[in-house]
Parts: sequence; C-alpha cells; structure tokens
Amino acid sequence: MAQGAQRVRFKVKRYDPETGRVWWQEYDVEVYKGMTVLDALRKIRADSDPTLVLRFSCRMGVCGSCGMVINGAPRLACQTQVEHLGTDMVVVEPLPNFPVLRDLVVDMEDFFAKHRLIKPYLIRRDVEEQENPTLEYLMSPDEHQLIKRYTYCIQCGLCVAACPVSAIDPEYLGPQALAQAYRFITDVRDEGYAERIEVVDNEHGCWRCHFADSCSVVCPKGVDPGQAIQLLRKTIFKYRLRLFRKKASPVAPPLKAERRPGIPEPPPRTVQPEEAQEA
Amino acid sequence: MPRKKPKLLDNRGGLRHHLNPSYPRARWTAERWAFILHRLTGIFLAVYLLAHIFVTSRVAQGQGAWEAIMSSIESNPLGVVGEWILWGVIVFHGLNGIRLVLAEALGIGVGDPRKLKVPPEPESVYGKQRALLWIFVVLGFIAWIVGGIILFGEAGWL
Repeated sequence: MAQGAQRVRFKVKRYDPETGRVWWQEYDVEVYKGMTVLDALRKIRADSDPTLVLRFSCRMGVCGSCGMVINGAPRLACQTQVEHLGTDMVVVEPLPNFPVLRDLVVDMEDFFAKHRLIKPYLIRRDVEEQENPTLEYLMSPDEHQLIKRYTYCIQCGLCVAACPVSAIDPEYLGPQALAQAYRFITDVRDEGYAERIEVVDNEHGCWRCHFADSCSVVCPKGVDPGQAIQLLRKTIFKYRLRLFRKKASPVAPPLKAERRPGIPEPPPRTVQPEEAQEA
Repeated sequence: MPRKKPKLLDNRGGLRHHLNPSYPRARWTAERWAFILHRLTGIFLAVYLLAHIFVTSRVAQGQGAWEAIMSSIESNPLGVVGEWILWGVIVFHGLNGIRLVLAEALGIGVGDPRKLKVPPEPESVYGKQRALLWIFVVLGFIAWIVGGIILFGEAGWL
C-alpha cells in the first residue's frame, strides 16, 4: 500500500432484522497510517452512514467485543490495521456460527451459556471456607504457569467462528468453553473436576473436536484452545482409567517472604486503613 | 413490557466452512487440511468397505466365482488405478490416524502449556505433532509411489 492518504473500499455485509434483508454495502474510507478496521468502521458511522451497527468497547483487544470476519479470517477489528491487510478492498462480515442481530453484531447468548455450563469458577468441598475465607489457597508460580495461557481468554468468539465443528453442530460446546473447562480442571485450587468432566465428556463435548487447530490460529491472545482440548481429552482418558489423581492445594496462611538485604522499607502510608474505612 | 426479541439471522457456516481448507484465511494450517482429508478419506473407506464385503463374499460361491471377480478387477485399468488410489487413501488415513491418537488421547506433540512465550503463540501448531504430520506425509507418499510401482508392475504396465 502506498504512503500518505489513500482511499480503501470497505465492503460490509449488512442485515436488517425488521425486514430480514441481507445485503452488501460499500464505503470508501480515507485511511491513515496505523488506522485499524475498527477506526475505519467508526469513521463510516461518523461521516457517511450512521445506520451501520457494530459492537465495540475498549479499542485495544481486551474486551473481545469487536470480533468480525475481515478478509476471510475472524479477527478483532481493533487489532487489525488496514495497512497490514494490504488490500484495496476490505471485506467485513459478522462472525459465522453465531446468529446475527443486526449488521456486524452477533448474538452471543448461546456462547456465554456454554461457558456457564462448564462452571467457570473455583469449586471447593469446603464451601464455608470459600464463602468466608480465613486463609489463602496456595498456588506456586509453576502451578500458575499451567493455566496462565488459558486465563488470557477474552471470550471474543473468534475460535468458535473459525471452528469447522461449530459450523455444523449447534450443540458443540466450542473451543472457548472446552479450553476453560481444562483451565479449571488443571487449576490446583479447584476440586470440582469430576463435575466438569461430566459436562464435557460426551459427543457434543471434547470428543467432537477434530483437531483442525483453526481455533488456535485465529486466537488473538494465543490461548491455544486446540492444545487445551487435546490435553482435556488426555485428562479424561486418564480419569476414566482411574489413573487421574489430583490433590487440591491446601488452605494455608500466605507464604512468608524474607525481605532481601539492601531493599529499603516502603514509605509510610499516606492514608491509614482506619481513615479509609471511615471515608 | 418485556423487550421484543429481534429476528435473528442464522449465520452458521455449515458444510461450506466445515470442508473448506481456505477458511479461515488467517495462517495456513496443515492440521485443517489433514482434518478435511482425514474426513473425506474416512467416507471413501466406509463406502469402499461395502464394496470390499461384496467382493470378498464371492468366496462363499466357490473358487470360480472368486477368481472371476478378482480377474475382472485386475484386468480392468480402472480397477488397477482404483486399487492404487485406495492404497493412497489407506496410507494417509492410517498414518494420520496414528498422529491423531497420539495427540488426542495421549496429548503427545501438542506442546507444553507451561512454555509461554510473550506474546503467546499457539504451541499446538508449532508442536511436534506438526513435524510428525510432515514425516507421515513424506513416508505415506513414498509408500504410495512404491505401491503404485508394485501394482502397475503386476498389471504389466511397467
């Protein structure tokens, strides 16, 4: 793409729920260096067509709202620069495998329901301790590293949009939910692995995956759901052979760390805890 | 008053996305090609199995019937080429199946979740299973060519 001001044609797939009409609309946008697809779509809304509907929030790849298919691949509009696409025509479509509400906005209710299905929270046998915590659940940095990758998930739905199985099976839990199931099953602080395995161990759960690895390729956060699903299967395989043993981390006081010599004490607090509570 | 639920547009990819190796047009994924080929060769083998049962069931009608049907396949050029294609399908499906069993049931070659790069990269794509796929593709191709030489040699074409 040449330097300086340049016009790029945007071809957007639109849908009007009131009339049920689906059509392609084209817009010319003057792009600048560093302009993202989201910036361009907002410019279209501001300058030429305020009826174009899209969903976005943070503009920096954290909220996972602006997932859409850009030039044939599911991407976050805020993380995709028009210049990097390198084409004079940018084709923007709503994410497939999700029902479309209007234009580029998809209905993610079913997606979140599947996420909820795998119980994405710590389950402990001692509920009383969990509700009114007195101490901490210990987790070493090495143990945290096991799940760290999967905790980066922002639930943007790009993996589900890329998945060849989600394309034909509406009941399939999807790469996002299965990766999160694995994230909680391997979490050392969690004791609810048996409940989660019951949810994912069926023909619409982890065994429906065909390891096409498209989910891992499109993930904007490098979460690698493909890896998580294979490791989840390995875990369930071991669990059904009664070889899977997991000892949840103990409830213990925080680890005492010695201050290294030569590091000064922190300055005194400007606001005392009692004062903060009163305020 | 409850909000009226808008009419949703069904946008499921369907078979168009399921068997499309160029979707998503992100990074080229060998695994996606392997998945599609595995699926198609699997359907091919399921259909072949019916034909195989039909042919081998001739044995029940005596030696004459068995030799008649086998010679009709071996004398037909389409039959010989078909057997060669069948051999390629079996080799690919079998070898890729070994890779899938290793990766899916035993979690071999999909990478270690603890080895986290910054920014994070999909380990399963760069893992050893990808290398294994290429090894199997090369080995399978050699086996396919060797099988072709043997089959065509027996047919007297070489």
